[in-house]
Amino acid sequence: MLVEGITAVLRLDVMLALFVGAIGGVIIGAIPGVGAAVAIAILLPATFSMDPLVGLTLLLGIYGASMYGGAIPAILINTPGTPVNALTTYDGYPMTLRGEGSRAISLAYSASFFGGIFSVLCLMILSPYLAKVAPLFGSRDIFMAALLGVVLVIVSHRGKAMIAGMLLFFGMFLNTVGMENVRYSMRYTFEQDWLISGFNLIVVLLGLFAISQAFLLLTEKDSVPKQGEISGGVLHGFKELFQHKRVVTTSSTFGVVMGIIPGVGEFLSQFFSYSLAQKFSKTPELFGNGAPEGIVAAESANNAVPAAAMVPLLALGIPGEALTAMMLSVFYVHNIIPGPALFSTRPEFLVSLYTCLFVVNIVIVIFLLFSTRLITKIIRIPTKFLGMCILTLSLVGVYSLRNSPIDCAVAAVCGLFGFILKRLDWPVVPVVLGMVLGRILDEKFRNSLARLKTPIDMIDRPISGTIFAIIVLVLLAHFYGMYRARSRRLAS
Amino acid sequence: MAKEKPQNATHNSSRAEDELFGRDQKSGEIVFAGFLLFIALLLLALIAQQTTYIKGMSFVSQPRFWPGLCLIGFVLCAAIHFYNVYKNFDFVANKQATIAELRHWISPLEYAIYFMVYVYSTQWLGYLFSTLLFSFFLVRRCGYSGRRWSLSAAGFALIVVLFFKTFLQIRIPGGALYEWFPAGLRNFMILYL
Repeated sequence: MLVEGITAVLRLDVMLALFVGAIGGVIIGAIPGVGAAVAIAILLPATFSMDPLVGLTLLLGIYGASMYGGAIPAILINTPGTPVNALTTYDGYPMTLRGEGSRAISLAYSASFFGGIFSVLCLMILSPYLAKVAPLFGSRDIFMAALLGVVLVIVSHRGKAMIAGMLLFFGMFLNTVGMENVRYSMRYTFEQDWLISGFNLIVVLLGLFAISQAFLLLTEKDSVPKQGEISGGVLHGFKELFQHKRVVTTSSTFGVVMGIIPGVGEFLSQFFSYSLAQKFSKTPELFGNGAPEGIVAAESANNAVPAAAMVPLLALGIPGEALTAMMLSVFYVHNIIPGPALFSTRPEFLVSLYTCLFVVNIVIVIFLLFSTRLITKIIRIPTKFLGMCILTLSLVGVYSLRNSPIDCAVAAVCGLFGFILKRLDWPVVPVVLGMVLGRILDEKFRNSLARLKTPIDMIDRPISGTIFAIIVLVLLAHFYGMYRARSRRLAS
Repeated sequence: MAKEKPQNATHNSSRAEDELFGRDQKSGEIVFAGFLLFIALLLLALIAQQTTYIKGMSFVSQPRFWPGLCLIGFVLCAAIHFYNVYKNFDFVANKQATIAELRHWISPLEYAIYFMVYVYSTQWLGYLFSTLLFSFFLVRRCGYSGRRWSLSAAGFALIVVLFFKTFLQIRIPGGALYEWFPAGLRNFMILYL
């Protein structure tokens, strides 16, 4: 199984996808305004015709590599390439202003590499345990895990919990539109034939992520990112990283833990890592003014998430955030159902996937060590031109699915909806997670019904009961936090 | 990327409430919050008409159970959020900013129309020609003029078509225009461009 899995990675098509994903991901990540979500949404339908391992390697390569690339403009021009690199600007840009741009970039690469490799190793170590634990999850347990995801998506949007809740329920509702598959009755189809099959997740994804971004770039004032200057090599950060052993290990662990928890993801992991690194630093006053530990904490935490986010996806079929939700559709198209059975039916596929995740981090770092200067030049694309490129590419994503102009119109409407959400600074991800988690909740709830006599039966299993207790604790902690904040405010 | 910051309609409120409701409002938020609440209520009102009730089936097994549950959640969150926005909204101070933001929301409609024209033109002109025309037109529309930008647009369009249709073989049917081409060229165009 192990040999078979590793051999699969050595296939020419897999290696090609690995290199294209890694290099493409770095460039996409380094261009402010694109991001992995846009690129993956566009490429998703193209991967349906590929072998599942090839398609997933390509997408995982883009996912992981974009965060490495996103650090370049964050450090050099104070503009994060992807939203998750926002914290890197706090310390990266001040270091560039001090003439330490190459040191900052080098630290970002080394921390990202450590975070990436650390999380893949954790995934590999956890895998045998997952293989034992995952089959213990029945329908009720998976339902509770998805419900925990729903709760976490809402409470993790600090300051926007109601908005996240509203959009999540809207996404869940979108998933119910069309013919339901028990009694084959219509739900909210308004006698429109094209609504019978419901809203296609990929069409909605493309609209919300890619087309909305194109609209945003096309309608705003044109600007060209400045060219960041770096001098000196970008290798020394790997030696310097040893001086921040505690920060990098703690932050990567945070990344892994937060990545595994559905609905939490990169933002919270790097926020906690950064806060903790500042708290225990000998020079906390440097944070925000060019602290190397700040870069190490942020970059290692966010790069530890992609591999960790695969844990709930592979073990339970529950995506933790938008990008793994997109990847879930690749699994479904190829009839590989992620979940407890995957570990027993396709173990060699999982080994190949882990190996790809491991190798992709090495390819990215080698590529970056030799191409950082070149990337700083090619990322200087005017925003409106970039908008044109994304809109042109969006057709590939939507139209190639079913050659349906109606899909394109739906995607355009979702694009307009996403555009307004982005203008209002509302999160887009809850809509997508609502659609995906809504489907899992609906399906698992129906499967559980036969065993339910009273509502208590839903939580009378050890796993579902434990997850339910976690849900209650999360909600209590959230409301207690609000109560304390209110009390503090009233006292002051 | 320089993103225009909409004018804030800020208010005095507790941090705890901020945590839940997100009080850092943006211009136009009240309109969108109201629109979503209206949509949520409308959809909930239509539940009896748009879903089926099956006699003898338990309440939680009914086809309308999940849409109903989702819509109740949607309505509750939308109503609470709208109430919060409305309570703290200063109509007089934010009128101009709100109107300006609403105008901005309409602006991408133009590009949405271009996109749909691009989709339909693909059926007639084929993927290669429609992509070339679309990117060339959009570059002009965005204000880029001169040979450099025209060549950049054409180069980009060509790379996209060659990568996706020729190399990855994605399923985009040949255009009606290809029917006019000689047999050999027509087959090639339909398959690869």
